[in-house]
Amino acid sequence: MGYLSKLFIAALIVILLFAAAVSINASEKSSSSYEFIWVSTAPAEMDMVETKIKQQISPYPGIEYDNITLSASRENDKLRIHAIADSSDSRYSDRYDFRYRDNDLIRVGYVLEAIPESVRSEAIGIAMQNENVASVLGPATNAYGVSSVKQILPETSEKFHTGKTLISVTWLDHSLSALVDMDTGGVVQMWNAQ
Amino acid sequence: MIKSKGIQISGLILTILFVSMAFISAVSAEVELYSISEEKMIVDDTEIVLDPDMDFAKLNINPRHSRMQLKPGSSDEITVTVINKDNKTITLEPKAVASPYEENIFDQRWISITPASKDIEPDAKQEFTIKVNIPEHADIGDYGIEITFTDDVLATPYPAPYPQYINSMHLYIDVWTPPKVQIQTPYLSDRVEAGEEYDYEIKLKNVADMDIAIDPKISDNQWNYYGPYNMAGPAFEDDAITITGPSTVKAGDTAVVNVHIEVPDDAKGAYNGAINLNIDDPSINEWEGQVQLNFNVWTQPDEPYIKKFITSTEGTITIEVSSNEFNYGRWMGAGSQNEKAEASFDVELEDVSGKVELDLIKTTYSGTVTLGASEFPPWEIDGVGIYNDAAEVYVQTYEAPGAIGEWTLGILPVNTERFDYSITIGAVE
Repeated sequence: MGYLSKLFIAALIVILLFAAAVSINASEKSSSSYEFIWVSTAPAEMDMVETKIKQQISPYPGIEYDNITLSASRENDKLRIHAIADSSDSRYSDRYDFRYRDNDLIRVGYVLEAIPESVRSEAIGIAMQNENVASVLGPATNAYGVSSVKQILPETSEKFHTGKTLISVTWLDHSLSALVDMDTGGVVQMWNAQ
Repeated sequence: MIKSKGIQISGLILTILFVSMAFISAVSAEVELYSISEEKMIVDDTEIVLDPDMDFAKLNINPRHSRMQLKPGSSDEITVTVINKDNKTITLEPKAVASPYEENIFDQRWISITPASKDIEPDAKQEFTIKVNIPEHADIGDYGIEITFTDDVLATPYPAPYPQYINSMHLYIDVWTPPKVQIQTPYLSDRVEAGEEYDYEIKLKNVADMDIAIDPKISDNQWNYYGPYNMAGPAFEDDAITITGPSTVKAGDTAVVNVHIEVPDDAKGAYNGAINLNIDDPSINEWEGQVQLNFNVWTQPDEPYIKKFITSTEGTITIEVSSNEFNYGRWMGAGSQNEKAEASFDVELEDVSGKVELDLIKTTYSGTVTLGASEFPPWEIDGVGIYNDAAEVYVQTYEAPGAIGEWTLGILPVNTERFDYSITIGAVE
């Protein structure tokens, strides 16, 4: 191998190392400012789990998590992880269930209630203006006080409407729920189990 | 036979008429300007389908809707997959068509689609990359654009101002910048008593390097909160709320907007509304610049609920009183800035000779937590396996020595809107 070839390879390695360093630095800068808190003993795979959880959480636009509390339990080669994400932007939290096995993290469940107050109220308002919802609720219901408002992720939404983030407004005491599209300002599905 | 056929034909005609009328009214209720031509519809059992003879390219487009959040001067891209479900080769020439119904009109020069054109065979798949570049000077707000892959449009019986493309996907773009004023109190939620006064604070932090004007006022759009079908209306009028505060938030400072509420003596029900802060910051839209208000008015009774009963044995009298509330409104003051007040009861028992001493033998907190799907809508199925508080129950249990005769039980509930009671004479299991 000639001197020039060796020089070229050395320069290439230096460039690659530099690019990797820049990439890692950029990744750290772009990461969110929340911190992970383990309430149970952190598993050996803690770093990998945290990295993968960052990729799978879905805070609603306008919500920034302050911290994510994690608890884990091991079942043979599988790790069950429950995450509670709190934000000062909302009085409610987001909750996720994950399974981790063979360096693979799968989100197996979620209840996402950390939604900006303005969006919560707008979603309830949209649902209440639907004639079918209003007729089930009746005029005397304090619709704002007793409803839950949850973010429904696109992979769930596509089974009921289309693959986009929707909002579920539910009155548990009336067994009533409205699936709301915030972009169009309409109710796209209604559920009434009574 | 002829009669039977006649009935079938007239039934079919009636069905077509009814379904057509229902369809026309449904369509016209939502979109006034567009209506699918009746001639282009056929009735297949109970479903309405497009006439297969109607000539348009049959494409599967995924996704049909997408949303981007971009700051001025930034860009993003999405990939849209189109599958040819037709039995012929189709030429796809994606175009960006401005949506007339959005807050802002999207400038078509901000979008590029690659490839610009592609012939796809039956059952073949083609990916298109849609890249959006938002210029520095773009206005903050919502934009919408339709990406059409063919020129096929729905036929309308009369000229329509905007074509309704069949093979299209809708792209929503939220152009935003971080707010210069942070609303540190995004909501005020409380249970308030009729005839009482309450004070609340809304904190606003200015993170910009300049003073920013504010002009907090009660939002005048009550319709948003009560809707056209809610006849109850608010528990009290807007003038029960007084808002005071500075007219500007100084650079780097935190300002406090004071909210004082005098709940009228005769108020009943709930007040839902918002304070529009009118922050002079274009990055904050009307909804985001509001502090939501949710006040449930209730009246603490002065007199106890009275229940008379007669005993025919001398068995011990056991009285159980419980509050049982669904989640989200479970205790008084839920979500309130004020200290949370829990339910309790003042219980008194009298016989013919007067007050009888009651022994509080047990206090129980219990609840209902669900992990299942049956109580929730199908789109909340992903919450299965995660704890959901459904209801919380508070129970006080009292005992008194029994005697044959007439009794009067008085229950004064505190901090709860509903309660259950039971009176047991004799041994309790």
